[in-house]
Amino acid sequence: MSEPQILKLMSNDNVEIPVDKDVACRSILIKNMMDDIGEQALTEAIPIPNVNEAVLNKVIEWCVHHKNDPTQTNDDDADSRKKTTDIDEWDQKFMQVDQEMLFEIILAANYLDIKALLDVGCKTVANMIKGKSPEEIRKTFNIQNDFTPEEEDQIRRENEWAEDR
Amino acid sequence: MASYEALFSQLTTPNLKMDPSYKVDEGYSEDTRSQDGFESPMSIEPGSYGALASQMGSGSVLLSDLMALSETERSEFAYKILRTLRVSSIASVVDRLWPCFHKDPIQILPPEIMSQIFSYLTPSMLLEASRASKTWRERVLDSRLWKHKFRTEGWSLDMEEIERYEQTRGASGSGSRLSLVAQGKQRGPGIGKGGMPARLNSIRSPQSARMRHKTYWPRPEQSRTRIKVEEDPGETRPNLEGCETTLGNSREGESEDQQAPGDDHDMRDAGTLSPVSDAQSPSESCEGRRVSEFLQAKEAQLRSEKLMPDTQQPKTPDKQCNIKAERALSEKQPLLLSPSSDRPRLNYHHVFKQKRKLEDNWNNGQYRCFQLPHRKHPEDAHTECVYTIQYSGQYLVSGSRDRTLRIWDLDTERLVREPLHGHTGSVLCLQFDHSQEEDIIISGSSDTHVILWRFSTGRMIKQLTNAHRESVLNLKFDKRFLVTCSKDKTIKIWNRHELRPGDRNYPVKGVSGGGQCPAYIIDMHSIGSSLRNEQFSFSDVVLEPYTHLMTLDLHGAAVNAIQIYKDELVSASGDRNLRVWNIHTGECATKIEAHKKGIACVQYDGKRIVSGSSDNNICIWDPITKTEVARLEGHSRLVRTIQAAFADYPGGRNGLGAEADVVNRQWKAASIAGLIPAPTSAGRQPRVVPGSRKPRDIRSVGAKIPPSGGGSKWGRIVSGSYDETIIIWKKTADDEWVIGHRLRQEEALRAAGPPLIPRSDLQNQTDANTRINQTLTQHDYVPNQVNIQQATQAQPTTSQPQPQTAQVTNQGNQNPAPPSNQPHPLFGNGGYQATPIDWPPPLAPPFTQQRQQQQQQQQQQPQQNTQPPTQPQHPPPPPQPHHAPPRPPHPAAAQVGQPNARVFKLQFDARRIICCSQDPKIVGWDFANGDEEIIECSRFFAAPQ
Repeated sequence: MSEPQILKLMSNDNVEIPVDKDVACRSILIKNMMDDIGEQALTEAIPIPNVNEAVLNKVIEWCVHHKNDPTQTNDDDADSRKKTTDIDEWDQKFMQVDQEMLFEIILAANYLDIKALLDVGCKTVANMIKGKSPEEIRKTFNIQNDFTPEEEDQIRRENEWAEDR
Repeated sequence: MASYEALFSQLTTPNLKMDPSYKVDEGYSEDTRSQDGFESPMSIEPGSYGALASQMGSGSVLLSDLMALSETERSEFAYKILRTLRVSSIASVVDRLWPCFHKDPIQILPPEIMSQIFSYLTPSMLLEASRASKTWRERVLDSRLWKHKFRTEGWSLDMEEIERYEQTRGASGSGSRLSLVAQGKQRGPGIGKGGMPARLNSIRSPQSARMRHKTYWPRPEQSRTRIKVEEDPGETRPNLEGCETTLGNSREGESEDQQAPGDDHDMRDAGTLSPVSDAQSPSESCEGRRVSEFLQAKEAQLRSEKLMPDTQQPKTPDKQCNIKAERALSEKQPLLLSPSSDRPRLNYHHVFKQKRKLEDNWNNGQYRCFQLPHRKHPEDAHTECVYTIQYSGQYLVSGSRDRTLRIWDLDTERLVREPLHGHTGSVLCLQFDHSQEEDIIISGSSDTHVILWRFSTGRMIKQLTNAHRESVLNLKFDKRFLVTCSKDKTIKIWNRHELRPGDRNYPVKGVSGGGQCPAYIIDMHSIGSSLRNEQFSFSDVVLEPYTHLMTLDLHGAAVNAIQIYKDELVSASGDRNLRVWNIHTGECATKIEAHKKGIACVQYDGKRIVSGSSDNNICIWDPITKTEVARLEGHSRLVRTIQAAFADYPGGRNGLGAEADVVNRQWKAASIAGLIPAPTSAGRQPRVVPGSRKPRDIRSVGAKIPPSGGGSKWGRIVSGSYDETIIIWKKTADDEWVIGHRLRQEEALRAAGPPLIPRSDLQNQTDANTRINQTLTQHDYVPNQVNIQQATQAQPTTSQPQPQTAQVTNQGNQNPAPPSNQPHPLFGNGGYQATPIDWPPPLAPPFTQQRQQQQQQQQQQPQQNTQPPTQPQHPPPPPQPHHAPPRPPHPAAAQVGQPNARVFKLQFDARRIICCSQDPKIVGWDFANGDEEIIECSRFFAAPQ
């Protein structure tokens, strides 16, 4: 087997990052681009206009680690079944970043169309909401409480039906 | 200045390490930031600091110079500055920096991503999150999200019904969003009443539901049942609606009006975006393929903000008044429509909530009873016991020992038309489809005939005379086939539409082990290919509709129940076996020796078979491995009728298999660890909690479905028994089956009013029939092999060259009703046939004696009508653990005046259980429990499969 083909990605702050083609193709966006324009894409850096160097590096780190994962083929099944917020250990550690970085990773994964990374990101945010009181959620995400006490009361009553059993 | 110099001399010291511990964000940890080339602890170039230091030393340091430094250098600089401060000052800086580490994802992430995040949370977590802020509440209450939630609970929606509803609303709207919202609110719960297609009349409108409430009777002994003193809702309701219109900006409406997310709209649609702060504008990070959408959405959102009143402005002085009214309305407000959409769309948050409330009523045993006939019209009732019912939409059809079928309107509790006369024996089974395309009822009787009726007219269309040699015990039809089964031990398959050789549904003859086809069925295999290639005319061998196609005769006793699922046919027999057949070839693919005694009822949904038996048990089977995964023990007599709804998650078999694999792996691990007791003989293990996943409780290792049979926690089985009770089985959090509630048919009957026929008659009939049945079954029994031969030889149609087309009868309703008091000689214990070995299982000796004594008493005193309605009720049944030993079902049965209440057939849907028994009355339990919001929404809940 020949040497792995190297692609260059260009972050929006104009940093060129070399990446294995296989790794880059975890991104469906890049994969489709490769399929469309072919090998010539290898020669020029591919601009990734929405992602800065730091985030792009982070995303690539994830792709390198997961490059041998089976591609998700039929998401419908997994998607529609009972959802779990379980995240594997490596990913959990990977996602221990500040919120800005976390959200940017999610946005990048969405843009680059890397479903598994998007899922991990969303689960991470879900876990930050899970089990928290409204006040704790506000604190976590720096949200201003704009309800009057009366409104809060009423909403609490309206929500009573959903208590877990 | 001296301190600065000191600082910068420190700065130039090599090997400084950054200490990022000031980053207090909980999601932060340093150690994953260590990838190469990215923010790794830097080696400081003394040069630049030196230069800066010298500049500063000369008093000419500029901000621009500082800013010219690299990020790394600046952060180091800032850190050093901070370290010069008192801890309290550092703390206040950190406080001010808080927003940097805590950002509102709703402001940053596009709605579809937020929606995905929310999809991982349970409803209760979501509603907690909805209390964070108004924006969060709007986003969390997104209708589309709750539609997804609804499905992932394992619940199903009647999408056809929803489409019809939305279309009807669309036709009545002007297309403008605001006007639609307004209309939705004004019209309130009266919606759907006018202008609907005829089929929609089957939807129970709240109007009729309200009428119906007046006829409900409360259950006095059910303390938890909400017994509402019914004021006339017709009076109170309009007032409420009036309030609603004027108080349109009540809390809930407000939040939805404001900029609630779209329903089935693309989530990126206008109006779904919350305000975006410029600092973190997603348009920066999401340009490219999303940028235009974002800009559009943002624009639209700004527009809508202008359009909409500012909801955050201080409330008007009558705010208190509003809040009071809101409280009054909070449970009444019609929220069926999602207001954000430009087309009428169902508000799935509301629908979800109603479904959940309904499920809670099921689990808490909160219901209202109802009955057919209407209390004021006892003349509508059957004159003898009712063996079979089916209901669908607004209609219920019943078949009785009085030889008639009756069509009921569940809304009015009245007969739709005169009883259908035609059978000359008890009507034992029926199925109907009132859709316009089908418009049919098919019934089977102890007179051995099968009759087809036009649903809409009640006229007989066709009679399959002597469809079997003995009682037709059960029948099922789909679009292609009618399948009948009989006490004559056979199953017969009939075509519903004209068939020609070569048609997909033409029977496949000549398959080894296949069904017995009459001679007129052409064996396509035996016809040479030459024949097929030539233009062989099949026109003379066309099979007319309802031609007998095939007989399946492998059962050794009466075939009591059948079920069609796609190309499979499942049968349950008194010979204790379940069989699965191929409906095209008649091959028996699966035989399960299922129960210790005869099997009375069966249900198959493609994933698992559920059977109820004379051994008093209900079993759940994996049809692939033919193993029993669960055994539900709770009845003390024959389980005569059963329906199961597993509430499967969307995704089909794969999910079940994966769940089963996990269980099997755990079992293996436990087995290797020596934690599994040695298997007892024949695999019959000691009594375990059905559905339990503990390795030692596993009944069948290797099954392809989990121990409970699978499905969500909302799964439900309802079983009716000759012990005169109905059990609602529910699942625990651990997926184990337990008795949720036990309903007593006899109590429901008693509450439904005095018996309609003298009890002595009923007793006599039952008694006589029991004897008849006993002799019949004994006489009937033949060993398996002999039986097959006999059946083959005796098959009247196999030797006939001409198709046995059914005899067409045009007599309509002209058949006179037979005298109803004479026991029919073929009357067979309500259609259930046990093998003689089993017989008489339903009446254990002590109980029989009890009954006989009771009868005698009653014959002496047949005046049970005089019994005061205030007769002391039984206390609610004590919660019966699943492993409780069988006990006499009816401590009260010895009392004088108890109706006979063996349950013959039940059916349940999302909202009701309806049940027929030895009594002529049909009774039902409505778990909407009078809640109008639930009633309004139940039309959208698909009936369990």
